[in-house]
Amino acid sequence: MIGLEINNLGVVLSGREIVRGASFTVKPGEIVGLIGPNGAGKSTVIKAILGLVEKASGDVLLSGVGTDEFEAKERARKISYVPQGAPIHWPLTAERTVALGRTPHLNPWQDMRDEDQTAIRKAMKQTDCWHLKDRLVTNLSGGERARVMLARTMAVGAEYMLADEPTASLDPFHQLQVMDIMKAQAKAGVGVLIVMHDLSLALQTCDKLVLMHDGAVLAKGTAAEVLTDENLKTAFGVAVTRWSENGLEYIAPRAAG
Amino acid sequence: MKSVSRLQQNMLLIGLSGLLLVAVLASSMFGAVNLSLSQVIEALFGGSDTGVNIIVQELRMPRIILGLMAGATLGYTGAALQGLLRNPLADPGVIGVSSSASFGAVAAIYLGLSAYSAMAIPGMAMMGALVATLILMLLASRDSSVLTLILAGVGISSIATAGISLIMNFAPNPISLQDMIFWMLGSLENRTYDDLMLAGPFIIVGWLMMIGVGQGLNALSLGSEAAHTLGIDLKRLRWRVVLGTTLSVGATVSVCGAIGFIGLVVPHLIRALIGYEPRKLLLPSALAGAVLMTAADILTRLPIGHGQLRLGVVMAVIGAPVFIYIIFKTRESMR
Repeated sequence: MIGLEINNLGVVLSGREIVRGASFTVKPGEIVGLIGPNGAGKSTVIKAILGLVEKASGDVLLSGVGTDEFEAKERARKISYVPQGAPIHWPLTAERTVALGRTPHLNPWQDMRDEDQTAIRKAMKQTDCWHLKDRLVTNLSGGERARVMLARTMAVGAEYMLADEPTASLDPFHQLQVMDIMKAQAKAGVGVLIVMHDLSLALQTCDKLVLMHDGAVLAKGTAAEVLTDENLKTAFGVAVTRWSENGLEYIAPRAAG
Repeated sequence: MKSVSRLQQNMLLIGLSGLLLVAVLASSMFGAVNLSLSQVIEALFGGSDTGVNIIVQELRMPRIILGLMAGATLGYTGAALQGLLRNPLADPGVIGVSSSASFGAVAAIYLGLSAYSAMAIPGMAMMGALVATLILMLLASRDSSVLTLILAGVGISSIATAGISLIMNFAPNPISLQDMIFWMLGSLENRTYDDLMLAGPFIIVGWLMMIGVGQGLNALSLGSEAAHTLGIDLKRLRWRVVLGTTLSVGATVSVCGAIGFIGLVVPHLIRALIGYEPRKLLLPSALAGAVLMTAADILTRLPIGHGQLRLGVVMAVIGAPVFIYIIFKTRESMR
């Protein structure tokens, strides 16, 4: 089957079961939002898919083949990742930072080829940060830096992109900008899995949602199937107010009565 | 700072190679007997008179080659460790190998082993470095996190330093104590091809282990998680850098003594010229380390030091102010 399949995934860290029996699929061209309260196991699921933490049980399949069977760089060419907070340890220029996304395509001694330069330029133009290419990332604003880091991930040119709270610490304008970039990626055929907290943004952006609670998948499917009052009360312990405006749906949480 | 073009990087490498050539020639010309450039070149090919041939080939060449290898090792490993640990304050001493090698040397002096063989002190120092490597591997083999490596290194370094203090405390006589202190201040004086044969193979194996680590170090700029998802085998990268460093630096310290500041200062010097990309720092740092070591060795021979000025002291006296100057100049981009 074509797609990124997570089957019955379980993760145990320091003797504690963090994720149990999680199953869902991300297909090419769709955005799947992974939502749930803090500590539900969302980031751990992402890390297990990427091989950053060991799976205690279950499989992660890429077009039917276990991700463990791929050589590290081959897997890296297929699944890219936007880490939470997107740290950078040295003051590199934006262009050199984005260039790091080409690592899986090059052997340790190889220099950038024309196709790598093209991928870097394309990713930076898509995220509207080409004009920042000679600036040091450490001197950029939060929004500019988030775009550079997204470009870095996009420069990989992977079939699937996993993002752990890419809109955290961004203002509303930049949150929308990042989500628009994600939508454009999906439109280009990339399967996108995003960990997110903003329910309205999830409702407006994602094709499918996976709601996690206490290490397990509580609900999955369309927004209408997942974001029910009952599910939201069970997962987050909140009631919600819903409304529509200009063709967009909104959900605002409030204390459960 | 704009991104550095390949041309600029090549210019830097060519410039540093030119400086290295000048330093090597100067180093072979100056000493107790000053020689002209033509004498040095003739002597290199055995064409000069016997005395000059011996001075150049037997006395100065091993010293120069060792200095080049030591400087290149300290510069390269300093840049590699700073990239691996993502810490601009890291230097080869951080993993405990320098102090362990010093412990071995000081123990050899205490036991009077140099009376039996000229190779006793470097041999024991090399043993110290290898034992430190083994302990580091044992301590950090299960959990290969950077923090474990640093803490293991700090622990090894502390034990070795404690051992050195203990031995110095019980030094049998002031001359032994002076020998120990002088050894630790570092020197290339009177080094022979035997020293080179002892340390050279370990240094070269260390270098070979670290070939091609630049890509992984670059990816680590984004943090270990991102580097892993870019297809970098972090465990392998860590061990290549750490083992390569322990072998090459251990061998360097064994024959030259503990020479500080090159590993710390040189990568900063290169960053000020071509930016922070870890991969681009490696080769220039090796060349600049070799230039600096050779130049410092020439300074130790100047009359000003009455023949007693030690290499480690020269490096510290030059290195510390240069380090502060570089930090002052680059503080904007370090935020």
